[in-house]
This record gives sequence, structure tokens and C-alpha cells, in this order.
Amino acid sequence: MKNKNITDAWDGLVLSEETEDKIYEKIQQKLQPQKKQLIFKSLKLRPVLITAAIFIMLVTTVVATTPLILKMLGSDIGFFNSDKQTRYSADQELIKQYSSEVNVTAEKDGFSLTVDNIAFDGTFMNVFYTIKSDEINLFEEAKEYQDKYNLSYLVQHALVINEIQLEIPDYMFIKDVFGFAASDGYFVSDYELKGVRRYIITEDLPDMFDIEINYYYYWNNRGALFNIIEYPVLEPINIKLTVDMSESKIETLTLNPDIYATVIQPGYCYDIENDEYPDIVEHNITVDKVRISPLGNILVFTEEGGSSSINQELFNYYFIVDDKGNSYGKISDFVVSRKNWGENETYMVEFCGNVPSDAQYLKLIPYNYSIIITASPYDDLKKAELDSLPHKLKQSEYGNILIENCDTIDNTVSLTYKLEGMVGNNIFVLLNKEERSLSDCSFTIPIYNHTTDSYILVYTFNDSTVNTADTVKSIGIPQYDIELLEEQAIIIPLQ
Amino acid sequence: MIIEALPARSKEKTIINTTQNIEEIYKKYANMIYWVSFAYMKNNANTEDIVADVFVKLIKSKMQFQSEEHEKAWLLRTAINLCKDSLKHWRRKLVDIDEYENLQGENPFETNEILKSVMELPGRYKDAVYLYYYEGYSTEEIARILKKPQSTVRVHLHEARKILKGVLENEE
Repeated sequence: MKNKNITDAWDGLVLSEETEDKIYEKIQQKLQPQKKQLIFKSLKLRPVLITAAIFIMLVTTVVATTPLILKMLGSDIGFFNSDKQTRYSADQELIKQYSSEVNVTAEKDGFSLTVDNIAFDGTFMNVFYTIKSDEINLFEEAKEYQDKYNLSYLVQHALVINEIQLEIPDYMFIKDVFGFAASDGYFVSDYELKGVRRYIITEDLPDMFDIEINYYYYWNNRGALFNIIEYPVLEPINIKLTVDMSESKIETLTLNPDIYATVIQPGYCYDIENDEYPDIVEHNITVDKVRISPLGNILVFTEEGGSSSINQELFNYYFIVDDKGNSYGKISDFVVSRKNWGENETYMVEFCGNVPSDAQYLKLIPYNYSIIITASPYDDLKKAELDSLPHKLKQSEYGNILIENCDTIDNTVSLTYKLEGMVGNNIFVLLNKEERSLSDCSFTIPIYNHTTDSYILVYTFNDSTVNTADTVKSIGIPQYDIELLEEQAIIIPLQ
Repeated sequence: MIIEALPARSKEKTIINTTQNIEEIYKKYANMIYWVSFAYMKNNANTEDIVADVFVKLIKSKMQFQSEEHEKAWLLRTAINLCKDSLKHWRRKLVDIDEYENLQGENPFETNEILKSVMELPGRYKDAVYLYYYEGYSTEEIARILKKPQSTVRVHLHEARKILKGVLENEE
């Protein structure tokens, strides 16, 4: 909503032609020492031929194209052959069953990218890879940004499937993104980094398809070590492969239920235009897809109107249960497609747990909640002392969180927990010995361990000098007063 | 829309050609990027560098913009991030305050009461106010530009609105 006073004032700011010219010269100067300038100078003369030459040059210097066909029939994964624990280590035996050895390397500017393994079960693709440099101390480079970015950011790359980019380097106005990704990694040495990137692919793929892995070049580029979404600055290192799933014995249940439902919930979201919380929000939802795969389950639905208006937050408060009385926790919920602002928005959620093969249906039960507030902001928390784990914490009358373990290493806190019953969005509060909240930290998307039915959530304090073993004394969760909206539940037949 | 490089701005200055007219983009957005950056940098020399860096990144990125809105949002976000990073760099270097102040020239934000009020807002509110009340973005869009939760943006706007009560009298 524009404001006339501000627009008038701001419109009065005009850049002089002299300054404009000066900046333009600066741009030219900044481009001057780059090789690309020579290329583009030539481009003026014979654009078509030179463009082709540039393409060939980039391909020959950056791209390693190999006609390697991956069959995902199982392989050892070198990433796990280390004493370094990552969030994905928990599921390594399961992941290995759906993996293929790749071992393809591409090099650029003193860096090499080797894709070691890829594991794919039809929905979840794990790409394991190694980044090396003989010249640049990657660990030192990463330390520069340790306060802001953890390793998950440093190892990320982009994936293209059949020429469609899974994660386009800008989420903002993209109309058809069909997946989601998370990462982790560790340093083998100062000059070698191993990473894994886990993609969730919501679209149905043919038996054989091409993939392309683009690793964006962050290193030795101080001041520009950012998420690729913001700074896809340089040409990526690129590896192309073909995946053939025709011989794989993966059993994935894919359903396209196309169920339409209207859910009416209280408005949780502050409406700045009207300076109030709306009473109710109407969600018009189509359940598009359910996939139950060995490495995880996903649910995809589309909401009319999406979050184009702050009065219409995407339908987000619901439990997933089945007819056997099992509840499923949710992680990795994400918007995967936005048709246009103000029109439909497609949303994907990964739900965790083994769905019995004889389950008749899944049920999405919307709920209404309020957080129980007490006089002190910390009195309303149910707390577990770190030295008395495991400890069960009641979240509401419908569910508990069992805190099993908490590892405090350097500036990180790694929580292992189980969900019991129907648990709403589980928010943990880290507390110090005075029971004050420690909030100067970021956390990753939880990882679900299929074998133990536990979740792992890692917090990283922004200050790398924080010693969490000394600082973090207990964990708290807020208390929820939940009202189930059973009459509005959406039933998704599985058979 | 695929941007490949910097085209001629005027007859003699060409060093690069492109499939997309970067000069058009420069003409269209240089002013916006300059003043958004100036609000952070508060001096001409550093602001000029930031604007130049934004366009260098644009040229090198080969961004594929889906629409003009996308293009504009990318430029704004890049400018804001570069400013923040640059200021962090200055702070990290513990630059002599005199050296920094020597870079400052005339500041038009000081001579306009409304802009001055906006600039006096706590840092976290400024971007949200500019993007909401000047550019007309929704809170959802601002959240994505600034990479902040939408709820945070709304709170920032709510707080800023209280502070700017007199300034924001004429809401459209």
C-alpha cells in the first residue's frame, strides 16, 4: 500500500546525469580486468559465431558430460564412511539401498566437483559429492562466514531434471518449481569438503531422465559468499548424468486424489491493512498428490488464492493421521508452485512415519489453537533439563514430545526427539541456567530417522565462540490449547 | 528475458553487447537503486560503488527474470544485501570514523523531513517501510525480498507505523 507523503518525498530524489555517467564508468571499470570483457567485445562483431564459441568454451572448460547411466540398484556411499556425523547419517543403510555409484568429476578455476553417489527412490533424491581445491583453503574461507552461514549453505547446488530447474535461483516469482532441497556436509580436510543435497521431487518422472548438477562457485570470492538465490554470480561447475529407473524395484505408492475441500479456520495472521487479526480464514484446497516412498512421504495440495493476501495464509494447521490410529509428523513444508500472485499456490509437505500397507486412508484434521500464556514468558513452557534426558514434554492434550537426547558440541545443539500422538508445529526454546531464552541461533529442517522413528534438529549459534555445553541448560516447549476441527477433516483414500 | 552482458550506454562507451538492453535497465532502475543504497551508505562514493556492483552482478549473473517485477525485486534485494555486507565489512575493518565521515557529502535525506523521519527509524524497519509504502509491495513479497518471516515484516511495519504516525497521514 503506497503512501503519498513517502512517494512524493522519495520521488523528489533524482540522480544527476553526472552521477549516472560516473557509475556507468565504474561498472565498466569493474568489468575491465575480466576475461569476459574481451569475449563480449568480440561479440559485437559476429554475434552468432562468437556466441557459439563462448558456449563451446564454457562447455569445454566447465562441463563434464558423461554418458553414465545410473540404475539405483544399491551401492556403498563413501560419504558415510567417516566418523563425521551428519543429519543424514541416521538413514544411511536405507539410502544405500537406492543408490548408484557415480564418481564423475568436473573442474573449474582450481576447484573440482565430484559427484560420488546418487540415491533416488522416485521421490527423494540424495546427491553425494566432494568439493576439492589444491590451492584454496576451503575451511578458512568458510570460517569467514561461520557466524552467518552453516555448512548446509556452503554445499548447496542446483539440480536440473529433463531441462527443468528444480530450484531456480530466485524463489520469488517462479511459477513452476517442483521440489525442495536441504543439505549437509563436513570437511574431510581444509581443502576437501563432502556434501549431500536431498531433493524432494513432487512431479512424476519417466523411467529414464537426464539430470544436471550445477555447483555455484562460492569459494575464493570473499564478499559474495551468499545463497545462490541472491548471487548466482559465476558460471557453475556442471555435471550431466542420466538416470534409468526401469530395473529398480522401488515400491512407491503415488495417488492423485484430486479431492476438493473448504476448511474454515480462525485467522492467525495479523492484518496490517485493517490493523487487526481476522476472525476466520477460508481455505479452498485441492489435494493433488500423496506419495509414500521408502525414503519418505509427501503430500501436495493447492490452495486457491494462496498467500497473496495476508488474510489468507496457506492452510497450515492440521494433523495427519490414518485409520489405524497412527499420527504422522510434518517436516519440509514448502510452497512448490505459485501460478500468480493472488491465484493458486501449491504446497508440499513431507510427512514422516511408516504408513502401513493396509491403511485405508489418511486424514487431515484441521485444528484451532492458542498458546497458553502465563505471567512470565518462561512459565508457560514445559521444560526438560539436559542432564535428565530422556524427558517427555506434554504439548497439548493430544500429543507429547519425547526429548531423547541433546548433544552440545561447540556452538551447536543437536536435539533428538520423538513425537507421540498429534503434535502441532513443534517449537523448541533453548534456555540458559536462568531459564532465559537463547535465541541468537538458527536451526535446520529436522531430519527423520526411519529406523528409530526419531527426529534430529540442529541449532547453530550465530556466535561461533559460544560453547553450548556451558550455555544451554534446558529445553522448553510452549503449551498448546488445541481444538480439533474434526467435522472439516479431509479423508484421502489410500487403496 | 535473458541478460547476458552490458550494452552500449552511449555511442562511444560500449564495451559489451547483449541480447537484452542493459542500458534500459540501468536507466529504469539506477535512480531507485542509488537512493535505496544511499539510505544505507549515507555517502555518495560508497553508494556509487554499490550501484556499480549491483549492475556488475546483474551482468555476470545471466539471470533469467520471469517478469519486470522479478527483475526489480532482484535488483532491490541485491542492492540491500550489498549495502549490508559493505557496512559489515566497514565495521569489521574498524575504520576510523573520521575516514568514513570524510566520504560523506550532501545528504538529501537530511533536508526532507519525511525522508529524515524514515531514515531515523531503526534499521530493521527502513527496508520494510520503503518497500511497502513506496514500492507498494505486499508483506508477503517483502518477506521474500528481505528473506524474513512474513510475521516479522508485519510486526516491523506495525511498529514503524506507530513511529511514523504523522508522516503516514495520507495513505492511498
